[in-house]
Amino acid sequence: MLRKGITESFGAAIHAFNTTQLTDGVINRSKRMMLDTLGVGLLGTRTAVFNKALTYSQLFMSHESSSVWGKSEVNLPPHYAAFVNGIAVHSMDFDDTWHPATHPSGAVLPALLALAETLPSQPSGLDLLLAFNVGIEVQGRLMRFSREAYNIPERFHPPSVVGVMGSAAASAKLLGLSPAQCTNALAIAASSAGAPLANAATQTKPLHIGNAARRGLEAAQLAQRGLKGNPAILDMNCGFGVYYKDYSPSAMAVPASSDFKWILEDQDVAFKRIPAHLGMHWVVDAALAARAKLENSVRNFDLSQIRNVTLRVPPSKYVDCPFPATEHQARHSFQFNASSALLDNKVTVSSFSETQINRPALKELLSKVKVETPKDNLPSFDKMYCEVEMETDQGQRYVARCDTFYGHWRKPLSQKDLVEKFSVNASSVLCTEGVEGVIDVTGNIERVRECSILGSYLRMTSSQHEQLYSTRSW
Amino acid sequence: MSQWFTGASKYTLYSVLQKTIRPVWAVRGLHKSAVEVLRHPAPEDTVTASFGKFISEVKPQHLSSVVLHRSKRMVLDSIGVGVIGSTTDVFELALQHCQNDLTIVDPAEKLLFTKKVLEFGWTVQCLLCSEPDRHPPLLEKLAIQQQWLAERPWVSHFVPQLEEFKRVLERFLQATPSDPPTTSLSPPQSANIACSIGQPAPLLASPELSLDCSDATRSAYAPNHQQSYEGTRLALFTGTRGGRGRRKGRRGSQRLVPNQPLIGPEPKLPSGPEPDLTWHMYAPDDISSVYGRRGTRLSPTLAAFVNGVATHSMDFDDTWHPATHPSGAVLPAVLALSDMMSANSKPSGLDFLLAFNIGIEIQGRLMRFSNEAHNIPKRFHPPSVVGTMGSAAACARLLSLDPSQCSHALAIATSLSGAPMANAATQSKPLHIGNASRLGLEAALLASRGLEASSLVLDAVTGVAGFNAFYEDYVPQPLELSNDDGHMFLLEEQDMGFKRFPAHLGMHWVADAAASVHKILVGFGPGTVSPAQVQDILLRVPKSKYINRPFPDSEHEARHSFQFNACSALLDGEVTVQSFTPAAIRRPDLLALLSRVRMEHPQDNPANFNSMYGEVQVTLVGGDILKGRQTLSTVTGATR
Repeated sequence: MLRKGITESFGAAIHAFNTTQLTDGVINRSKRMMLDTLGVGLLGTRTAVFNKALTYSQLFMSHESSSVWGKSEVNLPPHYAAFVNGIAVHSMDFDDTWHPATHPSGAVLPALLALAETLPSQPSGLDLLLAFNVGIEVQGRLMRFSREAYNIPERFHPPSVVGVMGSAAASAKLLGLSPAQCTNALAIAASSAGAPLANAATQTKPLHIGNAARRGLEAAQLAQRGLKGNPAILDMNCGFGVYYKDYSPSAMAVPASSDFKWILEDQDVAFKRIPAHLGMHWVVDAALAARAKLENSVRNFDLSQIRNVTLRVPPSKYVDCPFPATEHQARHSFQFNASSALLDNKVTVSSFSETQINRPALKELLSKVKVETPKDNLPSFDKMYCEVEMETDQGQRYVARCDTFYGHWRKPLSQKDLVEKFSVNASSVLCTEGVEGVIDVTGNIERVRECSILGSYLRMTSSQHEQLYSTRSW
Repeated sequence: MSQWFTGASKYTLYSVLQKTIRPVWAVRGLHKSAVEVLRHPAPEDTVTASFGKFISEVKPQHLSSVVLHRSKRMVLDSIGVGVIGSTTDVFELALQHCQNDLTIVDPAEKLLFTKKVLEFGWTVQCLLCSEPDRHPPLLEKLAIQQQWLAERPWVSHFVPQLEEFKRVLERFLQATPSDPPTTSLSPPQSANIACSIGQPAPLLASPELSLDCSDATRSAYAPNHQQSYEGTRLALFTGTRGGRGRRKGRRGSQRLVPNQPLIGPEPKLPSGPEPDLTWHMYAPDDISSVYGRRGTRLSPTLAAFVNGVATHSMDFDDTWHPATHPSGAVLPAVLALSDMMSANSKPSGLDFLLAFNIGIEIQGRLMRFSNEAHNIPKRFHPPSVVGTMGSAAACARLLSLDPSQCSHALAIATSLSGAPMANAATQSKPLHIGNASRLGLEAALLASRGLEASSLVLDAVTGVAGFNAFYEDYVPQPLELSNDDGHMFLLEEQDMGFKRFPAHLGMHWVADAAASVHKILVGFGPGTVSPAQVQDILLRVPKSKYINRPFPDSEHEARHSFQFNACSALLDGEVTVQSFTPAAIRRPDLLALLSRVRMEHPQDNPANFNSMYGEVQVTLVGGDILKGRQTLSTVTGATR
């Protein structure tokens, strides 16, 4: 009765992908994404939201158990490992961002690593890489079904919509499901999609990524058991279309031979340099440049001489937060990030600690910040810019503008800086052997025989008491 | 424009601008955040906060007798529907999924935990019995052991007596010279404690051990340790199947209390059916029942999930107006949570009913935030939207969360809500109720651990969608609890529709109408209509795409087909559980009738459970026309 629909084309494509279709460009880019995601996730295992989720998930245990990143002695059932590791990745909003806007890796990699550890026959590094890319590709395709999705979102948080689908697709691929099962995995996952944006800038936002990873994995496993959903879920406005106002799906060509055109090939991802919403990177770079101009022209300048600061940013309600009270709000505040950059001449991981947020000098500066949203500044990560203008008590003005920050896909992080970011992040949790092990395995992933080796490096923690436990035999 | 307004003058200009008509973009370019600050209500005045406050503060006396009566009917119906639902394929799949997830722990790992707990107890005992000069190294060891255990909160579930060790240790550390610690725990007592965690008694009760707990003695017994751990494991895994009430059959794990040592031989398994040894969760205290599965226990959230799936697996559960299935999302969650709560904090029946009613009430309130929600839905399946919220509210209440935690629970639940309608009439639809139940419970548990979410999630904030993401026409209202005890529950004014056969509620109208035609044709009593008599069947029903299926392929599609239910009732005189079996669906007579169905959607027949009707007009081969019509007031059991 049903014609061959878009959903089925996705199912068939997910099933049909094979490793020969991975191009060098895609392999290189996806390896960078994996490394960055692991580093960001390891750092994230030291956050409050991660610990809450972990305590919760430790209620559950199972025979099948998967590693928790940065915890040498904790195992969880695969779903909960995917959940907490996904939360770790997004806990600081430090993970990669794509265009159209979503955080693609955090929903996929934790699900795959958790699943890989439980499979009877260990997938190779290349299997992992393929499944990862299938998860990324599906997200990219789905984002292109709506024009609305190109802009910074207003209703649903994109990783909660496309992320769960990416996780389902990637997990289905790693499980080697049939085309029909892959279709059902997507249909089941669609019933687990969609978290409203209001929970951005709260502890619950990282949960969106954790849940996307977990529930996508779960959808693939349910499909494997034979559970069925609507095989036209992607085709219908009352299917996946409910998450968009201008939904226009198109079929995915079933990849033939080795000439598949990956979206990642055309559109690289952005890697963050500071643990904050991507938009903050523009405003920080502009603020630093404006500050440099001011320092060059005024000797012994004191920030208290600033009369006001004007930010010209794209209109986006959820990253416009004049007086953030929590770290999560601070990560979503143009005002905070500009002020921190002006005050400290840098924005780092520690800029978002409670003591830094509550500094009187910062609060004073925040009270001088105004936000403008010029008409030509579009809420799209591909088109937006940020301009920072300071006016001193003497009436002098210093303006700087950032069109493309370092780390954006138009100005990608060098491999050296990417590895450096990973090392700094991972060293907060792992010992040197672990840090170097992950870099080495990720770098050579397509040649690694058993991808679960990654999991063992991710558990090599550095903290002193942990070492005590592994060596003591009381 | 940005050059236009610069400097401090912008603030002043803004207030002028507010009073003048300007293009929207001009206002947008201004200091937007200041506008928002003005527009935002104070935190305690938000709709979201009012809901949190209601959930936390409403009292049992707010439940009127009508509400009590109606909600008890819902509980009964929901359990019955769930139990029959536990025989379905989709339930079986969901259960397999969860069992796969939470099967028994690796025995080696479990052994390690037991060992660590025993060693902790052992060190405590050594400390109690040793000379003061031996204390510092022992205390150091204890600190390490304690931390190992502290990092594994479930260990305390695994061996509840760990808590007793900790108490003894605390008493020891607080002891003064005038109140020497050794007097607070005599050797036999300490032996009892050790025994109570499963250590075979003779080993620890031997005088030399109790009186001389040097490390040397301990290591002398070391070879026996392995053996005794094995014994412990056996006791923990098999255990007896005694127990109270419906927790009967939970993992035995001899629920020992201190001073009731396990002395003598291993407990014998009771006679009767073989105990189910496939435990699906570690913690003996965190085990929740599964509908219709005597020996099966799951973690609370997964029990809520599978029981929710069971409840909606046949689409047999209650339906409210505006349309949702309220009980299936709430009841499994509060049941699972009650199972999880410790014996001394179990909710009373009235507390339980109050929590259930809060879960129902919240769903009703939320459904009234949108006019669209009054009609049969087109985008999101309502139980996946309001059901999750109801489950979160009920569980938050049962956990006695404070108002702020209750509103966080709702906000977390919002991030776990919403499934598209397209999965109706598939096996994934029952999953919506299962997930609503599970994720609401999860949201409440996370909120109880201090997780925070948006404090404006129910309030309509443009540009940052909260709960309004699920509706096109969202107008939230605060939920006020009047100071007297006179809260009016929505259940009081709007009763529930209970289904008589397992299909979408809309099918009941058309089935009744067709059954009345059947009666005219064959009279009362058994007997079927022959398709040869029938030339044409015309259904006049509301327009709703997802319950219009001319030739359903599966039971799930059949439960969502006007055509199928009309023809089944015309053929058999009634629609029953059996009507949806694969054999019944494929009957040639039924297919012949289906091929003669036409549908009309009259203007006066809206897709709304409060005002729709079902009309069946059968034209016989001879040209006679028979008509049956079911209007709302005559649908037995349907929402009034």
